[in-house]
Amino acid sequence: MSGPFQFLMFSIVVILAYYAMGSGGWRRAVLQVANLCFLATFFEGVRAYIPFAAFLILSYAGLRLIQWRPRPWFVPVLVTTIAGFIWLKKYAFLPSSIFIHTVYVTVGLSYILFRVLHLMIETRSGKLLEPVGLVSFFNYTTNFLTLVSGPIQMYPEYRAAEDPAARPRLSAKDVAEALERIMRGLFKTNILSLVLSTLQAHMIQSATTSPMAGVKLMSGALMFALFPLFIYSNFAGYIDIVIGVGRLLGVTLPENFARPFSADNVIDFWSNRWHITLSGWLKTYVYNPLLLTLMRRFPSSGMASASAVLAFFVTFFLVGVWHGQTSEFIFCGFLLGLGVSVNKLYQLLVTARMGRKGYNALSRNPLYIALSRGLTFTWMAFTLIWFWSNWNQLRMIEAALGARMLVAIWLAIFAGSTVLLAAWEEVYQRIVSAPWNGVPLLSLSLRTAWGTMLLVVIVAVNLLLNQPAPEIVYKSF
Amino acid sequence: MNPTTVDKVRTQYSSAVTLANSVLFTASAGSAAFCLYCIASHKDHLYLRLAPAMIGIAAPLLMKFRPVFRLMAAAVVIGLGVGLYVAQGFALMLVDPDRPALQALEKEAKAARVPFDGRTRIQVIEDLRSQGVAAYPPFYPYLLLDAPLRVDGEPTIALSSIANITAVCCNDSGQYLEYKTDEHGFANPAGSWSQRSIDMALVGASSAVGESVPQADNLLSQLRVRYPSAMTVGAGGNGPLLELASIREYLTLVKPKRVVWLFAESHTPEYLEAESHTPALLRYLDASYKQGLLEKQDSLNQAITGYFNSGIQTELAEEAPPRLAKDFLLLKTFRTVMYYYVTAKTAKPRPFQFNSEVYEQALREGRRMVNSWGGTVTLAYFPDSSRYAGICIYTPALRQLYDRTHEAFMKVANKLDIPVVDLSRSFPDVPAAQSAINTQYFYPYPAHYKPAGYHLAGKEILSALEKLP
Repeated sequence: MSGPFQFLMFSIVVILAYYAMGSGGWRRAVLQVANLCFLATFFEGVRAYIPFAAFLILSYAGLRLIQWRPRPWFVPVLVTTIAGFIWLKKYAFLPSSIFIHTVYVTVGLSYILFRVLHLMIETRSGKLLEPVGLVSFFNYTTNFLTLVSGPIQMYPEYRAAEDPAARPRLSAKDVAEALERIMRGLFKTNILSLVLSTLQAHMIQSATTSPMAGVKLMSGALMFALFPLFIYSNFAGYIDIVIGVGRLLGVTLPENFARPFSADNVIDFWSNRWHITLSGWLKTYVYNPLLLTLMRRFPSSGMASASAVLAFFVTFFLVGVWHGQTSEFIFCGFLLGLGVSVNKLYQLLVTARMGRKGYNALSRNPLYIALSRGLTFTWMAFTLIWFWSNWNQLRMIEAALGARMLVAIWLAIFAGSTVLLAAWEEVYQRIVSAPWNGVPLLSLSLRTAWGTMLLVVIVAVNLLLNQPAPEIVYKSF
Repeated sequence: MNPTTVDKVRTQYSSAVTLANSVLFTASAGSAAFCLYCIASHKDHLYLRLAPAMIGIAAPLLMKFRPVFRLMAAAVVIGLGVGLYVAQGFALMLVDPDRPALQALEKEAKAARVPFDGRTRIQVIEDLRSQGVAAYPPFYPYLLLDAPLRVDGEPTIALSSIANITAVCCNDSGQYLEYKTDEHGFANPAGSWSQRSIDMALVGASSAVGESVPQADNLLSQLRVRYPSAMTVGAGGNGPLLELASIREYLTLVKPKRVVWLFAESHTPEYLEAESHTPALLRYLDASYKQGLLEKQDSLNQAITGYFNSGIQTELAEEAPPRLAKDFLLLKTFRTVMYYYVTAKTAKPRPFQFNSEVYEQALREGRRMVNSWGGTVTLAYFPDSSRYAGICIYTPALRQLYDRTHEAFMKVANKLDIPVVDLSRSFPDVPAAQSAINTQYFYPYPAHYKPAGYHLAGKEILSALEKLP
């Protein structure tokens, strides 16, 4: 099941079956069958599921061992689980001779790992109120809504929503909002991301082949700047669909995006706005423990700042490495880590020099905010280059554009994103604070017009383009 | 809520309802006007009249409902309208109905290492003209059967292009075919008409012109190896009656010893159908009828030049800003693409049509003329690439249709006892799994033969002619 449309069709069938059932038990059964059926849509033969199933079974066995005797089993089980994941995902730093060389299913394995580790750590710390049963474990780790690309829901929230009888009845407003969310998602995945990926492909072509400097500059800037917008449309759109479908099933899933391009620093971008559930997970299970360990090891107050910078670097380096198994992703992780740690260092240094009040005053300066936002976008666009290209392509682009042109392109991206994002923020603020937002009926009318427009555009443009939307990029992570 | 806020909300609500009424009224009036415009200008598509008529009637009916309902209805109307124009914007930016064909062409050109020319034909013509070359499209006689050119005040069916110009033909291989027309507007080397004796002449449609391969690879060039004075009176889109007319108007002058008369499996029956409803062409079945085109060459040149120049101006005007703005308002791109989409989804298989009676009469009269100067007629059956499994738009149903056409053609040829070079048996007729063998002869999209296809056809015709008396 590769496309958002197919996912939506599948979800509609599940929703209809879910509401056709009268009792909570039957409804739970529908969701369990839906999870199995969703996994089966990636069918490539029974044998292809064996490693995937083995990983789940061994993870559950490990979890039971931790439940039984946490102290001796926690570390070995944790290490074995991570090692198993790295092996199954065929990380490039391992010798290829040790891998399984047949095709097998790995869809959602990264997200399953996060959930499994969360269960193990929380079981070890005794924070889970009840032992995790086999059915709950399977449903939590392979929930069809969140299997492919998240969001990473924590077990207590999942458990609270697991009982269909406990779910609130949907009102017409809930249904309307869920449908609006799904349409917004479809618009992003099927229209925007298709348009942006098509445009980016044209820009790569024109930047590397055009003899005219002006065309090279413009195409080069768009080539780099369009990718963050594309990946946002692609990923956030899918999450919108998933959240909308979840809402129709009475499940509230955590938000994963919060207007990421409004971030005015890299830490804000990663911590609060982009792939929020992943950042939250890493903050809970990597950053906080690491920072605590470092501060215990180097207790002097002077080392506290350095520990924070280092903890940031390690955490975000892991974000990059998690995305892929090649040297490009490792380098990407280095850049992510570098971005947040330099950002943290800058905050510490400026605060030390200007004082907290002075830094806060500076942070409220509109020009400073606009420039910071532009710089954050530019850095993200730079970091994400290693998502869409490889070293060979980069060498070709470098050879086609030359060092001077590349500098000009990045300056253009910085200037352009500063101006455009500031303008967009202004428009957004005006929309949010518009008078009609306080009048429910007017607001409803506008949302009806907006929803109708989205529906028309989605249907019409899909028919017009007559080509499938790009695959969900995060499916492969 | 304090009283001021309540007043404010009430004012906004009342303005919104007024706006909703205006939207519904405008939608109704606009739709009714558009519906009337479509009726008055005889628009073909029923949906262009029906959809606005429905909105025109529904919108005023909504005025009867409560204000809240009107607000929602107006919101839906606005959403629909804006959505359609946003979709039109996307269509303008991203959709080109010709794109899939161009992409296939580019891919094929790349594979054959032919430099790909992505310009439109009109751009090529404009570029050539800017270099001082008298460039025009080739003249397709069939396009003006319903509204013939007026030459010296008389409605005239022209059979050739403008004399001594550069004709820019279609692009099948990645490059446009450009050739110089002769003194009568055909695709022959200059001076062909002053030769003392002509060994052979080709009569037919685009294959007789050599569309769209380099001239060295076309059928005429293959035949010229054995018959150096061979010439063509072919023109794209010709059917049997136009071909008969070409024999009478032009070949009577040079009296070739052999006439090779081509039959295009996919198009000849279709062209014949249109021609057999054209009284001016049916008159050529009468042995004494002639337009006297040879004597009118200058006037013909003038008339065709005028026709092309006005056509080019019209086409260029389509690109001008006022026209583009009008097209945008009328959602032209959106409607065009949707039309293609719907047509492609609802296309029915082509019915069998072959007016063998008129074809037989045309052949009989053509042969009589050629025999009258001591020449002979040979027919050459040019199969369509899609008759072969796995090639182009092949389907078993299409193959069946072509087999019926072949059968009907052979029946007429046998009845008249005219020798046939049946090229349908010359190309490998293999199952789809082995269709790669045919890709050397045919393009993967509807087009004329590749150079290798013309080479094979030329070889087969020459070999068959050698066996004939």
